[in-house]
Amino acid sequence: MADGPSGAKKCRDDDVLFRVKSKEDREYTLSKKAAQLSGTIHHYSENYGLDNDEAIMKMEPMSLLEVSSESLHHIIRWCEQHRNCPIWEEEKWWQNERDAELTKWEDEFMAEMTSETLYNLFLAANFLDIKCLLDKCAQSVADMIKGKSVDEIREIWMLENDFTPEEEEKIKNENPWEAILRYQEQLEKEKEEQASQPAASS
Amino acid sequence: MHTVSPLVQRNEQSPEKTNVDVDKAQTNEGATTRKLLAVSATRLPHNILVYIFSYLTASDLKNCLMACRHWNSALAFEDSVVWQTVARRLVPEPALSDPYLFSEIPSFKQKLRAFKFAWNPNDSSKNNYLRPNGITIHRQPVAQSTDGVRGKIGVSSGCHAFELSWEGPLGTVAVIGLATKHAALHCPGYVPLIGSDDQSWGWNLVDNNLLHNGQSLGIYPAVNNPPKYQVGERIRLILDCDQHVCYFERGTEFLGVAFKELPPVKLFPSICAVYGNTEVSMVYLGAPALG
Repeated sequence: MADGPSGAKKCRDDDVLFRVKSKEDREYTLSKKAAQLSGTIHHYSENYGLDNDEAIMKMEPMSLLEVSSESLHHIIRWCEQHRNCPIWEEEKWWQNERDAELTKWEDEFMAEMTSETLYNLFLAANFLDIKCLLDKCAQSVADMIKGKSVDEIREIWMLENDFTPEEEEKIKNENPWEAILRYQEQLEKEKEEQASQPAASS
Repeated sequence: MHTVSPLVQRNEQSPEKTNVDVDKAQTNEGATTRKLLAVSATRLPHNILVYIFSYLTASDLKNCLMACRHWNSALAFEDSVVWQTVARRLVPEPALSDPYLFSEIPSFKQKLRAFKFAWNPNDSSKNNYLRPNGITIHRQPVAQSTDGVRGKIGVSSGCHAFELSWEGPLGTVAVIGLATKHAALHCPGYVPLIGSDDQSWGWNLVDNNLLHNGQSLGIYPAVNNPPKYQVGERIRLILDCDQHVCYFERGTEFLGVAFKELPPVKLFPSICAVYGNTEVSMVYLGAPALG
């Protein structure tokens, strides 16, 4: 892990290290605190009595058969950066109070992902049940969909239009989407007006 | 609110571009052109898709629904987080927290749809106002006035069921029925306005008369001494545009065809009321359960 990102937190020497093994059988270590961000690892350590430092130091590496070395490397970077955040169980803490520096780091982290790494990272985060990372990935991917037409979405995602024309017509008709759109616009307009008012008065 | 949207970052035409921003724009250039490869992106697991979709607006979801079967099926579960998020964003909170109002439609997607079909506050007599729940119309006490309202969406194809319930006394005239977009919604006096011309069809709940074009079409339901409408009772108005008929149901009871040979134009559910502070709720149920 020599090629860590600039300003990234690294494991300290006195950290208790949790050992994990990637699909390619390469061994990685991450601090105990960072490891607890993953729901999967959390449950694993509960089940295998890894609740004290001594047990963790003696542990055999946990094999993560669905996670490639590359994804695991990125995941460990993410977890080490977020290790001081509340643990994974808590509801959506990452949406409430944002640390500006952390947000910036997250954005940079996402920007350096290529589509393929992002895709694999997404699957790995899903497997490891790391909620904050899942959320960030979903946000990045959703940004790629936002404001695109159906054809553009199909192109970006290499989706095949496998509907029959009748089915397509039916989907169009069964949802009152035009009305939803109109309401969405109206709501956004109201929001903008509300946002612009205090700005005008100050 | 420190989050900078990646889209904004990538916008290279940003006018207030500082040196720092220029650097950023350059490093993010790759991100703009970043595309998901063919790496089985089509087969992202459902729970991941749901995660992504919950960040989208209704208009983007529409496009996702139409993209392919796999994505469509991911959105097919009507009570999923995705629909819950969108419904919580759009449907007024008092409606969602009302335990009684949406008892016929448990899923969030249905609630969203019901709200889309609800009364249109901008297509109503000025003596009515829409309650904060977005579903119930309230007629203010005004003397010598008949006040109507239309739904937001008119339909000209398919089969649709609307559940109507009337709170407060009916007064001398209380009509539920259908109207085209041309039918009048306000007039002086206390008259059955819905059904008064060829643009509307009404059932007056007070005397059980069916009305169209200013004429009575007879007593409905067509039995001797039909029971009067009880306040709070739920009546289903069913409009079958393919058969061009309209009928009503009370509970499990079919009351008989009310109107036949309806024109193939967009028809809106509508009501007219004369009593002060009377309230009428309408909940769209989708296609009726047949049989």
